Amino acid sequence: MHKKGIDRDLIIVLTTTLITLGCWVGFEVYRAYTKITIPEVLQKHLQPLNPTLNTRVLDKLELRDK
Amino acid sequence: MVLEYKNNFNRYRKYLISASRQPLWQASIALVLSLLLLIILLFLVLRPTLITISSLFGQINSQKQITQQLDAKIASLQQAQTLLNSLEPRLIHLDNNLPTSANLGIWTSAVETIASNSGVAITNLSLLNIPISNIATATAQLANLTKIDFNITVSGDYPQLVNFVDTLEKLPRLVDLTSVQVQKQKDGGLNLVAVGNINFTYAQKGY
Repeated sequence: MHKKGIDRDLIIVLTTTLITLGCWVGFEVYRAYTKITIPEVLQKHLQPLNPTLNTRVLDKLELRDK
Repeated sequence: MVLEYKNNFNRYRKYLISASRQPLWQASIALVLSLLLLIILLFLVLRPTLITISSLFGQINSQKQITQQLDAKIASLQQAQTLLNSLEPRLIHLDNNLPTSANLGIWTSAVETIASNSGVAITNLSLLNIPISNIATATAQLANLTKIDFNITVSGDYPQLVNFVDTLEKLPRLVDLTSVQVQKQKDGGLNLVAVGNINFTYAQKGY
């Protein structure tokens, strides 16, 4: 009975360790998936560009030159 | 005979007991070893492999997003380039009003010409905050627009002064007049002090 008790405790400890290890690995995998660093130089290039030009200024300048 | 029977029975009983216990012991050993093996495999083999795989997936996803953003930016640039090409004939007005270099010689010549045409005499022409090339470049990097203050004093009669100011404002280059003061001289003539600024940009030629 004494040996059975030790076996059962050992199995519980090992199972708990396995679950903890699984959780740890899972979190680390998630962290590795989400933690992506984009270089600063590339981030500057990624800034969106507004392709519209303010032509009203040109209109006013044209009128001024006339 | 009886004793031998008892001895045999006892030995058989011990055997049964040990035999009945052995599968359980084996089973628990197998379970413990399996769990230990799983733990070791998870820590030493699965963990680094899974982390590498997930980081690679993450990199692939981020690269896809970067590609999409760059494609969108390229499309915007193409659109802007098309728009700029269509406006190119009109950009000469922008160049005239806001040149890409100080061109102070041209501007002072123009001021002299309009003064001469208006019939006024320039008694003072000061240009302030003229940028030295290197400093100007640093300033241009910050503001992309450089301002040069000027101070002109001319003398003449009133209609001539009005004509001078009117023509100064209508110069092809943008002139921002901040103040105009007319003062009467001791000899009865008029002095006009015009304070303002002209701007230029360091934009690359060809836009």
